[in-house]
Amino acid sequence: MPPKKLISIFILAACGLLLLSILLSGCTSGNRERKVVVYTSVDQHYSEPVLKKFEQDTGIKVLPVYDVEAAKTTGLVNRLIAEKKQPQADVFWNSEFVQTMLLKEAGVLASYRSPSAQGIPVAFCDQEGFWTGFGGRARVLIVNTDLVEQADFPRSIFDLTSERWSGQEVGIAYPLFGTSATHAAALYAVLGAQEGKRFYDTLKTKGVQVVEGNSVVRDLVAQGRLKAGLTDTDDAFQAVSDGAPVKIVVPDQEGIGVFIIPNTVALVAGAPNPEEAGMMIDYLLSAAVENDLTSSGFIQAPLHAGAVNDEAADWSGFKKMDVNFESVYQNLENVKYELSQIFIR
Amino acid sequence: MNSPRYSSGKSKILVLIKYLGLISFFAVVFAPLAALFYEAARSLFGVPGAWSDFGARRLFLLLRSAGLAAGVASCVAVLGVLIASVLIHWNTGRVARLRWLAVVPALLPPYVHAMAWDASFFRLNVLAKSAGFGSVQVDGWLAAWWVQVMALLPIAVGLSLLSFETVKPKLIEAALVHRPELDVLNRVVLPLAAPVILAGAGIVFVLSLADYTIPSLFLVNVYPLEIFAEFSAGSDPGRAMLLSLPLLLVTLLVMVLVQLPIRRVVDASSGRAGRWTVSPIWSGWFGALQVFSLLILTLQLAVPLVELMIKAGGWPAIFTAVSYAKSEIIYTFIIALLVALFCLLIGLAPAMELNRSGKGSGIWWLLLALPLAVPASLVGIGLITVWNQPVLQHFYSSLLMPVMAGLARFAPLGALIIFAQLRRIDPLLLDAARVAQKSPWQAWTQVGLPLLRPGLVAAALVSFALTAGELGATLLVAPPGQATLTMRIYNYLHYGASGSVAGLCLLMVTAGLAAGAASVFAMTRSSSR
Amino acid sequence: MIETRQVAKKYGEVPVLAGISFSVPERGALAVMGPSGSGKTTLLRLIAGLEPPDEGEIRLGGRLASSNNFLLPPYRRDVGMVFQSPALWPHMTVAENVRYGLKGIPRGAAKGRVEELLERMGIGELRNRFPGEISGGQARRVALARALAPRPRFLLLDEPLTNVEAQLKEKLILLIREEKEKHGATLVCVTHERSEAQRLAEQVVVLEGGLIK
Repeated sequence: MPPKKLISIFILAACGLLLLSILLSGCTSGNRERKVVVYTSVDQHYSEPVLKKFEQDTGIKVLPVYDVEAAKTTGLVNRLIAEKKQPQADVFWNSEFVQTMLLKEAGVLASYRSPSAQGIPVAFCDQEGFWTGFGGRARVLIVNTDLVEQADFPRSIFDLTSERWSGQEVGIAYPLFGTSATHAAALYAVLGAQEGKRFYDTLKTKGVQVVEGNSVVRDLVAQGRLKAGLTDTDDAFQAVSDGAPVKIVVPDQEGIGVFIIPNTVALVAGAPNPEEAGMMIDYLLSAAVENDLTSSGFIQAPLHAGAVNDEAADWSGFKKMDVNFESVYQNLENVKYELSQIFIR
Repeated sequence: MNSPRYSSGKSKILVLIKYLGLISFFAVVFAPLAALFYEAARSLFGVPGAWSDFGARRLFLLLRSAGLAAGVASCVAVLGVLIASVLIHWNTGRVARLRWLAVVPALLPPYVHAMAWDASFFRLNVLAKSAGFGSVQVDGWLAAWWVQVMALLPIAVGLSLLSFETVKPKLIEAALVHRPELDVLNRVVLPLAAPVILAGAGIVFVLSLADYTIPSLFLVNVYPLEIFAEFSAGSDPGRAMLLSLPLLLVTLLVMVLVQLPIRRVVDASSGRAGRWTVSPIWSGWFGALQVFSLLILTLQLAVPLVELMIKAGGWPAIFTAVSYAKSEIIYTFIIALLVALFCLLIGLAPAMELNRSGKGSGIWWLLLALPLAVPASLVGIGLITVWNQPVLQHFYSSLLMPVMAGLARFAPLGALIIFAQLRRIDPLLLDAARVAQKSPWQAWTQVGLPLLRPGLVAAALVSFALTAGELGATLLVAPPGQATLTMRIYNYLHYGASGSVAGLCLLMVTAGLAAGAASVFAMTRSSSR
Repeated sequence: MIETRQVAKKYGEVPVLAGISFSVPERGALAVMGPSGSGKTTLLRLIAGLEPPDEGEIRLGGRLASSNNFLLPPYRRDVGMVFQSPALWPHMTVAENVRYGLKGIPRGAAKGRVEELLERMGIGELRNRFPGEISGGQARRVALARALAPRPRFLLLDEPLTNVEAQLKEKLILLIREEKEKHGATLVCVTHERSEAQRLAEQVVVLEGGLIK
């Protein structure tokens, strides 16, 4: 091909693509169809069907942005803070609560009291209405049944520090990110800072495997590379439904109880589509959605009274950790500071 | 006799284009960084004691990370030279261009290498156990080093090959008459190829230094993880940027060190691009090293591919995964293509500045290396700060933002690659064109750009590949309702759909190989005329 | 002695040499002339061992050096070569360029040889300059010094004196002849100029269309 021709083709292609992209951008933002922008840290696998259903029911277009575990929760929360001056999102649906509380403090959220929140215990709602909790997930132990006899199952998260297990055999995710960090803050709140720190110190000195994320803990246990590990219920159930030789242990039933982390949903201050945002929040907080999320295995402890339609998912009998969300949040920064000194070295 | 044409009046357009390119480059690459530096300065002066907790622990972490990166860079550079010294001889017919396909595995995202090697180490371990050798634990540092070497090797091979081709064949032949091949390689080829080889090693160092995904998968703590911990704890980009400054400093230091030993040589001899006409007979040990390096190159591609194929579980599963991710695939393709094109448009001007001798080029060199060391998610925050403005809403909520993310992160690398090609061009050829031109535009379109073509193609391919795999910055600026393939892959990754992940990764590599092969053949056809 | 027997070479489909046979006796000199593209440079490259012939064989000093399935590496042929372009290594100084071929010689002796040649060429003061810092004619002389320095048994010159002014050319021809006589080299020289050919060599052949005319 003569060079001249090649270059004109190149320039034409560049211009064409530029035009196309401008056209495309016009299409997505130009027309007046009803829409709602949802930022969510809930796995696409679980959240997409819920959002799709809203779209079908209301005809309102849902534009989601999903977070990914690998971004270490630095993704959406920081995006929301950075976009504060010119918000793009309408609704933030978070799979836990401390980051939501952080957003409230950063002035990113607006108050919205949803009628659907009736029936949700007051403890799970922000007093000023900046966020509302629903559908709890639990922090559980996952055990490989090929490697551990039922009688030897760990029964408490503190068993991970016991002499029975070598550090090579058990694992946790970095307690600096995501729900693992929230869990650590909760332990600090319940046990006191000193005891909380001692627990993680022991894990570190024992040489417990500290891996990238809760899904990695799950995979390593499922593959038999670890005997047991601490992870989220949704991750653990995934391994169960994949048919891996694992059992889920709800820990600390004779002790502090299992830590339940509710989802939270909040309205973004200055949301471009406030009306649709309200509808989305009402929908997410409905008992029906809680039901669907319970059935799909994402949540185990629904907050709506009598929302459980699935016996296997009924966690009402389990002892739950009694912890105040506000004190968890207050502990978080200190926890992350102390634990990064312990674990990143 | 014709009087020479002086075209200073006419080249105003070119000057305008050049400055337009420079301004766009600065706006796209440095505006977000400037926003971040501003935040960092605010943290530094606004928050008392922001700097005080940079204690021994962080310093130690930084030193260890730099050590890992140096280990990776030096190993990759040596392997790259060894492999290139073999590939440079595949220089006849179509195979000649096919050797550039060795660069395509750069398309494989680092986490794919990590997962594949992790699985292979595990398999080895099981095998060793069953053979009665007991359990062999691969040390975390060793594993992290090895996998980073594997992930970054294609870039080094590509740059080494490019650097070898910068050496004029006449210079090699003149030496071959006197001394054996190894000596010629040592005394003539390597010194002449050194600028690009060392630049490649520097780039690999920076990419390794900024990566935390591979080390943390092997339970190795590196400095960038500390930045993420800080960022996720406080959600304060200023403090996170402040923590990144030591990374930037180390980067600058390495980039300076890498360029110091190079005596900038003006090579005005003309001739075709490099080709060793005689297949050399290497001495035994060097030949053995070459075979060893080729073996590693093969492993580097084969291990991920085999692991991916095992995990993907057959073609139907791959087709399903692909059909689910169709819109993401198209979206990613458009974004990566736009980044590749714009990267050339805005990368050319800084590359030319870099090619000018003098003090300015050294500053350009640092300017181009710096952005590579800024953590991706911080670049994303910088992009939001700069572009999320009321008047720019149409722009901000469009697919042009992920394009900006790709450009902000990888246009400097593109410029460096174009610069490598610029160095190869005999300045006499450009001078000749300038003397004979009817217009400066003509000299550029008919002589300059065609001579630059291999470098442009390489820059476009590399920026395309890296953009397709970009996550940290894209995640922060992707328009709502749109996701790239890498975002999708990470989502799959989280809930353990490794089959789908493997399927999509295989698709990425196959598409990359196909695109690479296509451009290779296009180049062969046009250059064999 | 340099001997070629039915040497043929193609580049792709284009035949460049189509069966060349000649022999230059020990200490003899041959000048090769012919129009551009007639294969003169290729012939020198084949003798130097930079490329293998497709057919035929080349013998140096009676020993087989090249055939279609054997190629003695260039550096083991004891040849010195001046290329059409000076091909100086830009990262080495003038002196370093000339010294490159002097391996296995004591440091002092090598240095002396380099100095001697550069002085005789009239470029002694350039010894510490880089090739980018000298003129085209000077570069040509450095290239010639580099080829002569190791006292090769076979000397291959590809238009060694183009771009050299007439007065100097005379001096250099004398120098080449002197070196050749002193060290007993066998010479093959490609040139465009008949006078130059006659001054340097006792035999002259003309190449055209890949054959000796």
